[in-house]
Amino acid sequence: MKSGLMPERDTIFDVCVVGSGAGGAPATAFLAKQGLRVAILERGVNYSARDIRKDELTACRRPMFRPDYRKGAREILYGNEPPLRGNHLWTGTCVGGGTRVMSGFFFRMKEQDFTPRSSFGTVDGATHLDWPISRADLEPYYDQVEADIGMSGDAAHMPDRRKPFPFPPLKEHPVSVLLDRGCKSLGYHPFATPRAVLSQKWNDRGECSYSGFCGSYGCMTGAKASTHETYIRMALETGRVTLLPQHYVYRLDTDGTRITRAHFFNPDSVPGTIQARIFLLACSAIETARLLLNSRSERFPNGCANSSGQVGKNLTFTMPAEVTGFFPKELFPEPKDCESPFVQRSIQDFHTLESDALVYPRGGTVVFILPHPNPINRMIALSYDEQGKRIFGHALKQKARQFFSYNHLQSDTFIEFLPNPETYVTLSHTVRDYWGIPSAKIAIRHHPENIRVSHHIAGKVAEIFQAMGAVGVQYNPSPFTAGEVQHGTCRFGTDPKTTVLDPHCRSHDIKNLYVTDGSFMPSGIPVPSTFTIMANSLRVGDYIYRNG
Amino acid sequence: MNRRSFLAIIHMGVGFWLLTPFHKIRSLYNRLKGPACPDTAEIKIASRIAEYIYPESDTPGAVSLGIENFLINQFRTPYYRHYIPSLRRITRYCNKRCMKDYSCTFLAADAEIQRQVVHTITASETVRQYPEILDDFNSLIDITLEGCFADPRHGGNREKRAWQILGGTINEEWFNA
Repeated sequence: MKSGLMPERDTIFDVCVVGSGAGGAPATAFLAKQGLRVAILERGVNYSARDIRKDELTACRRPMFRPDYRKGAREILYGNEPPLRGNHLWTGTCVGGGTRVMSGFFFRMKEQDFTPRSSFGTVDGATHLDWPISRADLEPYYDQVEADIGMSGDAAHMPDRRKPFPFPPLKEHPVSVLLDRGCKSLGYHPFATPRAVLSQKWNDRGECSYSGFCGSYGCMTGAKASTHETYIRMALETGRVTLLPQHYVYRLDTDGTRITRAHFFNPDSVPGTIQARIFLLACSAIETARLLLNSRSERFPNGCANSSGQVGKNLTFTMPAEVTGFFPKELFPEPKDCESPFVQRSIQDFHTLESDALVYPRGGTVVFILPHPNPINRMIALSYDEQGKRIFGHALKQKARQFFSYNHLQSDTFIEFLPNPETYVTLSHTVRDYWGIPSAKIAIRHHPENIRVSHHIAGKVAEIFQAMGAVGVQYNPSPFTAGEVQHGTCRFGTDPKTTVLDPHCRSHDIKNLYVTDGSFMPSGIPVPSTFTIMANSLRVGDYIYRNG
Repeated sequence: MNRRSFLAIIHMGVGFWLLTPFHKIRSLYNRLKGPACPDTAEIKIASRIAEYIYPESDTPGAVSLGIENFLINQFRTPYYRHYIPSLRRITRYCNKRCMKDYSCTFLAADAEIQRQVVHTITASETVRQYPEILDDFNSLIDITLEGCFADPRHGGNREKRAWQILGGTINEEWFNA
């Protein structure tokens, strides 16, 4: 069956997958390889490599990888600030989802990351739970993802690593020598960042071009292991997958025990339905919760699969600790043959913290990067003073000149976000999207302990930069996260009263409904989550094939 | 649809056309169509204001970087349409202020007068009188910086000269990789 063609009206697929990113595509490819007929509906566009441009205005400041305001408006309550309306907190909206615009930091969760509550205890006001699975359950699927997508890294300095990576590490930025020296002088253990980016050509995918415009821009060479380049391609090669881009699923019908069909709008906004034996949702933690809450019925008046009342609750992101070091130009080597903003160095010495000041001694992973070049973004950031007032004219130019007279190094930190009752997704009563469907209302409040941990780690990173010879260190105290990394709105567990999904990510209420995006996670995690979402998607695909 | 109901619809349409004042139809049409693109004078005023936001010094300012071309191109796109009312309020304010204080339009005024008028935009008295103007001006700062620092194919950042100020941290090959 060809991609993009709507099947006959009476076609009943084996599996209907909603979302083509990290949660949906691996399971799709796995199930299609086993001989199942799968339809995959994606609300975004199917961009080819030719559509990708190293153009900040188009890729970052225009709605290329997220819906425009009319189609993607949301209501956001952040702390005590007045409600905000806008197309914010979207992961990548295109075929490949957020993996299309990820940086590709692929870390495995450690054993104790699966038992945060029993290993590190409870905290007042935090609702984190232990996972119903262990690292051993996920390990074979981590291995499988690595083999499928082609990861680059160096296992030598990673103590919990059993075997080498499929590809050697990516080229390192010259500053990594200075960084290694700084870290080691303080007793830390830097290692090459494992990346879901090819360091060598593989099949018909090119090697990394080390473009400064990576991350949010998409990849032109195919080196970045987005699901568009990997699992979606594998799935389509089976000939048993129908990929339907620009199909927006807005409601699910149930007969009380099973999902019977999904309602969608096609690219011309014409409504339609699709039927399948099994439905697998993977449209990001926020949108999956919204879809379930919008699918009310007599049996489920509070939203589909929501007898526990937990759908949309316990939303988590990742907690940042953004520190920038200012280095004299002569100290900080200029890039020569490696222009990428990725230094290819990380540390996990702050994974578990030792401090009497912290109630919950959980930290995270620190990845070192150069600031992305993005000139518009950086100039707009410079046009604000510390009080948030705008700077313009010669004062702005002077500030820019001073700022760019130094070289900079930054920390991109992934700290476990504590779920709490004040961070959740529900339906907005005031905002609807272009099609008239209630939009998501997203409330975010950081747990005070998270703020303390972020400050603590920022202080440690600042010490590293100072040991490297930084002349200045700047800490961005804003805990507001970019929001691409989202989890927790349909947690998995063994108790149907407190969780939405069973340990196989199947709904406790509806036996043919699975959720495989980040929604299943019952706690935040101290590593970037894309790798874990992909591995779990394969695990669920495997379970569906054996038991579905 | 049979012939009779088809004719009834036609008659109703003609009746509506004859009974409704033309200006009401036109106003409804305009509302559906959205705001008209800024005219040449408005774009020129916006470019002059942009020059005060990002002025010429040892590195080029907004006008020599081609901000006018950028604004003409971008205000044709759907993304910038919601900025049109902001732009219009700012240009009207500048003209009004110039007429009141100096008895000339903003474009006819000399550079010093223009500079003084632009600086009154952020004055607390102006913000009290026109509460939206500060947000409008902040939007224009964003637009100006987009125009100056975007890829030249959008009309601004002539010969990529804006990136000079970023020093050695921007490697031109990055943009071509």
